[in-house]
Amino acid sequence: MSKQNPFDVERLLPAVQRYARVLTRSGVEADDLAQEALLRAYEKRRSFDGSRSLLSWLLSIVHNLFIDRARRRSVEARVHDTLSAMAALLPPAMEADTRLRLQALLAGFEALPDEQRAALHLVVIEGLSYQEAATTLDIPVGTLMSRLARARGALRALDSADPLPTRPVLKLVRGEHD
Amino acid sequence: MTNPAPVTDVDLHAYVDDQLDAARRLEVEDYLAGHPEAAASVMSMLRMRDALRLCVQAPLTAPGPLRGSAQRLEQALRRQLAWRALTRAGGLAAAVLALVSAFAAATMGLLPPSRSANAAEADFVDDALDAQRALLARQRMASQLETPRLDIGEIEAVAGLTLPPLPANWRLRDVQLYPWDEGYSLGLTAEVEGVGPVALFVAPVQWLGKGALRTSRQAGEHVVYWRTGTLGFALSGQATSPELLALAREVAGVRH
Repeated sequence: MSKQNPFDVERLLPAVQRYARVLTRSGVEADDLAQEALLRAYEKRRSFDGSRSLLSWLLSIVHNLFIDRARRRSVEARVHDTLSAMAALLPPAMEADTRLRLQALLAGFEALPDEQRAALHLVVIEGLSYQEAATTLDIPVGTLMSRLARARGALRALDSADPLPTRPVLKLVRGEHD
Repeated sequence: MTNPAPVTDVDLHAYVDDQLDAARRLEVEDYLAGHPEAAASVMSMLRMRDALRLCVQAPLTAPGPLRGSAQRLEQALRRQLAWRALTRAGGLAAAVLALVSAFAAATMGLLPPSRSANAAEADFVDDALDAQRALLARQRMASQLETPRLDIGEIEAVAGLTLPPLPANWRLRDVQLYPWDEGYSLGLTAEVEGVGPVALFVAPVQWLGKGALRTSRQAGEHVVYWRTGTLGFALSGQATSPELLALAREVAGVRH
């Protein structure tokens, strides 16, 4: 018998908040999405049957709510925080150059299409298996993997050793457009 | 020795994402040793992964309301498991569940005081309806033997639940104890003359309202609930609201 409480939703909150943040790209909107997702999960709790992990179930509710919300408003109308919502989570003690490069990478990450960003997040940051991530997103494993590959291809340019301040993607951090 | 399957881009991604078993990892590593370009690509993906994971190191604090919602969901899921296990698998599952539940209760402590009284009451009504569903499922199942006996003294001694005597015109159909946060709850079904089938659910509760009977209606089910001492009582059934209220007054010993 597992010693861990199988329904420790509180322990999973950071993962729920992070995913909401990655999807919405906004700290404020993320907490709102996370809260609504938990209320929705409560209403839908009878659909949780233990055949999948609680984390995967919760993240799929976050995901579906996000898609519902995105449908209700156009992408243009979405209000983003001026600063990268993810960059705000970087550890404070960090060399300036490193920080700049990481911020550029995060900005590139946030600029990915929603579906690629979601796939990369679930696998790379939350460490879900391919199967779990695919179940969470309700897509076949093959689709998940091609999204991962595309996301990584798009980010690879940012991972070169060049200093990055002149790269256009940094403009996204400042909320500017070409 | 057989040749390993050729290493593809998919393997490189799976290697970075830690989705390969140990044997396949070794094969990929052998391949990388002889293919510098693939190795550089893997290194670049690993750096990307590590950089993204740096974000995770920052502790994210959850706002109070979010934590409250998490705790509410957690309790509901735990109780839901209780109902399901009891209707599905009978004795053994119930025993295991009692252990799980006792462990959870021991590690989790009491509900936070921040939850509003209304939410706690609504959850209690939800739980009562869950219990009722479980009891009705048992009645439909041939493999589940109903226990139409209620030994109030034994239940008080073993489960610490103090029940009032039930009115004489209640014909018991089934009585079940469930593991609960800090002990036990009890659900029973009965046939009441002139009213029909009803379910009574009794559990220790945290909300404070005392004495007054309250009513709630959910998905076509009327529920009358009240609190006596530390116990919450919920009476539900297909009967009309006035009928249930009259029955509840009898059980609660309220004289109006």
